[in-house]
Amino acid sequence: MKKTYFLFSLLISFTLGFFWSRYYDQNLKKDKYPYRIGYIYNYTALDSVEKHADKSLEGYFSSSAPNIYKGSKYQFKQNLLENYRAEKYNDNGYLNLRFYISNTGKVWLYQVKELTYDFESTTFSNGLVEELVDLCLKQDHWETYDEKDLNYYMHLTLRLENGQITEIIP
Amino acid sequence: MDKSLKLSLSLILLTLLSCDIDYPSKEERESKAAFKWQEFLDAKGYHQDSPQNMKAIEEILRLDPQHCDALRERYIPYLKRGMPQEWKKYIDQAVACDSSTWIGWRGHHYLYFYRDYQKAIADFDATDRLTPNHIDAPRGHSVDFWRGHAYLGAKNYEKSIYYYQKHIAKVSKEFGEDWVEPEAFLNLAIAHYENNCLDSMPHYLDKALYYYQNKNADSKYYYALYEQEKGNKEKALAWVDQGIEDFYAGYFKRRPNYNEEIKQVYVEQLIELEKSLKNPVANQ
Repeated sequence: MKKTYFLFSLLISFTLGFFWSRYYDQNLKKDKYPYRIGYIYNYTALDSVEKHADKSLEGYFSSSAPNIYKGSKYQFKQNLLENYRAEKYNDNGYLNLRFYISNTGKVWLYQVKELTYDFESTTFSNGLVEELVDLCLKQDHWETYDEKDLNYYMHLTLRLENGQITEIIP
Repeated sequence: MDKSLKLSLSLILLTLLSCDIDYPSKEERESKAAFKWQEFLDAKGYHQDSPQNMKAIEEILRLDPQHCDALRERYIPYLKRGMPQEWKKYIDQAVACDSSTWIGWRGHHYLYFYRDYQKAIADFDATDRLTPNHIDAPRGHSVDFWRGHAYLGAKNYEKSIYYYQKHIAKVSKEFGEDWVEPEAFLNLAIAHYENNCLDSMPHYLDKALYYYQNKNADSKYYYALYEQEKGNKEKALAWVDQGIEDFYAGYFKRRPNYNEEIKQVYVEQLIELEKSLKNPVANQ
C-alpha cells in the first residue's frame, strides 16, 4: 500500500512539475531580449519618461554621432577638457555613459557606469562621476538633425588616466 | 496492489512519452546548429540588435555552445552600442572558441572602440604567435598596418614607423605600391612629425596625396604643419587653405558608422592653424 502511495505521489508530482514547467516557459519565464540591444534599463530620468518614451529612436544602430554634436566632436572635446577639473582626481578606468536626447537637444534619461580598464565595475572618487555627467550631458553640446519629433541614442566612453581624460569614445 | 503499480508505471511512461523529450546526439545538434546558422545568415530581415536576431543566435548556441561564428555574432551589437561589459564577456568567449580568427578582431576593437593601445598590441602580437609565418588581416587590413595605428596612438613613434614601413614594403613587393592604403603613408608622415623627424615627412605626404588623388585635408594639414615648422609661412597657408577646401568637399579621413579615426583631423584644427599663420602674435 505504501508503495502505491509513493508511486501515486511520484506520478502526481511529475505531472504537476511537467505542466508547471510548460506554463512557466510560456508565461512566466523572463524574456532575455525583450527590447533591442542598447535599450537603457537602469536609468536616471531627467524628464518625464512618459513624455518621450513612445517616440522613435534615431541612432540606435551605433550612436547618433557625429551629427548629434553641436558643431563637432572637436568642439565637444575642447569644451569638456576646458571645464573638467582633472587636477582634483587620480582615477583610472572608463566612465561609460548611455543616454537619450529629445528633439530639443535635451538629455532626458541616462545610465552611467564606472569601469576598470578590464570593464569590471568600480567606484571612482567622490564628485568625479557627477562632474563628468553634468559636463557631458549639457544641452549646449547636442543638436538634433531631423525635423521629426524623435529621440536620439548616444553613448560616450571616457578613458581616464590618473584623473585625466585621455580618450573620448566614439 | 500489482494492478495499481502497473497502472502507475504505465501512466508515468505515458506522461514521459507525451513530453516529447528528444535527446539528439552531439553530431545531430551540431548539424542542426549549422543549418540554423545558414538560416540566420539568410534571414536578411533580422536587424542586428533585434530580439529576433539575438534569440536566433541563442538558439544556435543552445544546440552547439561551441559555434564560434555565433559566439562572435553575439557581441557585435554590444560593441556598436557602447556596452563594454557585455562586449568583453562575449568576445572573450569567441576568442576562446577560435583564437586564431578572432583575437586580431578583438585587438581591432580595443584599438578603435576603447583606445586601449597596449591591449590592442598584445592581441595583434598574439596573432603572430598563433599563425606563424602568416600575416593576419583582421577586418581586412594587415595586422602590421593595425600595429602601426596602435603604436601611433600609444605615442611609440619608432615602432609605429617600423610597422607601417614593414607593411608598405610587403604589400609593395607582393602586389605593387598602389595596393597600399594611402592612410599608411599619411600616418607614417604623422608619426615622423610627432617624432620630430620633419625631413622624412614630405616623401610620405607626397605618396599619400598621390594615392588620394590630391584630395585629402589631413595630408594637407600635416604639409602645412611641416612648412610652418620650416618657417615657410606662405607655403603653409597655401596648404591649409587647400586643406579646408578638401575638408568641406568631404575629402578627409574618417570611419563609416562613426567611430573617430586615430589622429582624425577636424576642420576647426585647420581653421585654427590658418588663423595662427595669418596672425601669429594674436595666437601666442
